[in-house]
Amino acid sequence: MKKLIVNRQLDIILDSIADGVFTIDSDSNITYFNRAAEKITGVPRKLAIGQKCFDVLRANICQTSCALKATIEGGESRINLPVNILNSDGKTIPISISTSVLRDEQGKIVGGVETFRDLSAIETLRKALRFSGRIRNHSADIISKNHEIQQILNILPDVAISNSTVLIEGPSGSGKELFAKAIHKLSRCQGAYVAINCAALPDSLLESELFGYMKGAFSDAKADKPGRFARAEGGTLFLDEIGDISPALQAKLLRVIQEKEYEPLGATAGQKANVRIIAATNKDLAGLVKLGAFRGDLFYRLNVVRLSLPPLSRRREDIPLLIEHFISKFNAIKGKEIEGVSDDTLDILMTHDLPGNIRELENIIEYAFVLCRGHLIEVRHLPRELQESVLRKTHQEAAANRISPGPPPLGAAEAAAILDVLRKNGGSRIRTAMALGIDKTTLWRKMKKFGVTYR
Amino acid sequence: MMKIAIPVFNSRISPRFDCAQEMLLVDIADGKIMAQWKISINKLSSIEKNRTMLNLGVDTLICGGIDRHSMQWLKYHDLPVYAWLTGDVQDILTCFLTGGLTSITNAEATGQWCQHRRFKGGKQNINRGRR
Ligand SMILES: Nc1ncnc2c1ncn2[C@@H]1O[C@H](COP(=O)(O)OP(=O)(O)O)[C@@H](O)[C@H]1O
Ligand SMILES: [Mg+2]
Repeated sequence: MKKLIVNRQLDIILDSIADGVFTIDSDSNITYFNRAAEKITGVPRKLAIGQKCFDVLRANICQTSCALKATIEGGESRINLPVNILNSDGKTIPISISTSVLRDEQGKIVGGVETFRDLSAIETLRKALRFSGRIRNHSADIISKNHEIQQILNILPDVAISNSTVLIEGPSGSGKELFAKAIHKLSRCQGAYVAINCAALPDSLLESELFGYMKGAFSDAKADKPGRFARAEGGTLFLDEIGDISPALQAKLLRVIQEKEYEPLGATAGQKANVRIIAATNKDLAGLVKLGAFRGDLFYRLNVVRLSLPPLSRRREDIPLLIEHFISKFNAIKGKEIEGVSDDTLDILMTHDLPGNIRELENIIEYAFVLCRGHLIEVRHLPRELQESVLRKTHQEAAANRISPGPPPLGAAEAAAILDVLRKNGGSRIRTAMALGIDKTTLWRKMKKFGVTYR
Repeated sequence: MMKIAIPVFNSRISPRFDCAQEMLLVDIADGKIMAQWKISINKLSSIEKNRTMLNLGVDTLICGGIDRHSMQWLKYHDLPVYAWLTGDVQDILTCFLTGGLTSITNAEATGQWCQHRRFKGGKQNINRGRR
């Protein structure tokens, strides 16, 4: 009786601490599992008890170097070993574990105890720091499995140290500036990284921005103002949208590149420029040269190394990775705990044209963060236009397939129709439901009723 | 003929696909096992493991715990996945051959998939089902 009360008290104590605690017998079967352990792993106690510990914890070390097993066999405790586990939502959670042996009253080893602490909060903080730019490393920021991008990443360090002028081509939002910054960082040069968007400023302003001016150069010039070239001295100047500059400025730029010297407005003498130039454009610069809209000699000076970034539509395999990347970025920035996107949402993002490329994808995720209160971004959190365009597309397809979104056909014909539309929509249930003009749960029910399956 | 892949941990299904060291490949024809053999996958990163599934011409993946990212990736590549299983590999195989498993990629579930299925007794948890 007394022992029972003591046990209950122990339960209360163990359930009130924030660390996960569990015990196993000598066969790795879980014999005790406290409340924090339930919370961190997502596995209810009554299901965890009696299971193998590796089937419940799913730590990265379980299959190679189980700490608890080593403790039970060698008798030595481990303290604060950092590992990660997969929780029941399929999310990887960083934890630290400590282990010790469990002995019976005679002192015989009968199993082991493990306590573990959720480090997600610390990890989030670390990520937030990284995204604030302090411990940032270039390649961790460029997310891609695409072979074209991989090839560029492979040569990037060599390009960076070569100090030659680089031309980065790619549609808007494809990562041109990201690569420019990466090159600057990898070059390890002492000077600053300075960017300017050549399309955003009128010609006269652009010139004074680039080269600066001296006091008295014009009526408003009350003091000397150094330009971007001066600020980028010993560093990198990123000339974004270079295809948009005027012929006059093209000539001036050519001179700086050739002679490594320029004159601020109103200056009497030239100024040395030791600046690495990276230019970017979303236009076909070689084509503009042929049309006579861009100087050929400047083009050849810029085009020493050319990097062409493919549009996102040519690297759709990156979309899931990028989504995950932006979700963790915004989780860190906005202090949320969104875990991912629903399958339907992923379907839409994978199939929809994203003319704004990665920037558009980033904006979509950021927008969804505003609306999403749960842990999963759903279709309803996407911008209206995106939801509507998907709807439009399916209706068009349905019309093309001559299956009107009106009242659905009946019986066996219905089963055949469902299968047909499923096939046409690559198995996507949401698009199939839309095309048939029924909701998703109805489709689900019908598929079950008719035994329709689609791999 | 179909080829299924099961990440394994000794005689059991591996608790975690992304950390699995070995993979059992099984050729099945007419509902019968034609051949099975193990390959080592300990050198592969998680994304490489996913890719290997495709390269090996695997038709179905049967696994234990799986991270959301791999799940999405495999789903995108239309590879059916039966996940969050625990227990003895040969028992799971038998269960699969007799139609006792339900695929997760085919189910309508989204993010909460595993919560609905994991340890939910019977089919998905061989251990418990046999007890
Ligand atoms: N490969 C990538 N991995 C991660 N983020 C990326 C990648 N490419 C682009 N981005 C992000 O997308 C946004 C747009 O990229 P940016 O370099 O400004 O494009 P561009 O200069 O071509 O218009 C930025 O927020 C950038 O960080
Ligand atoms: Mg840009």
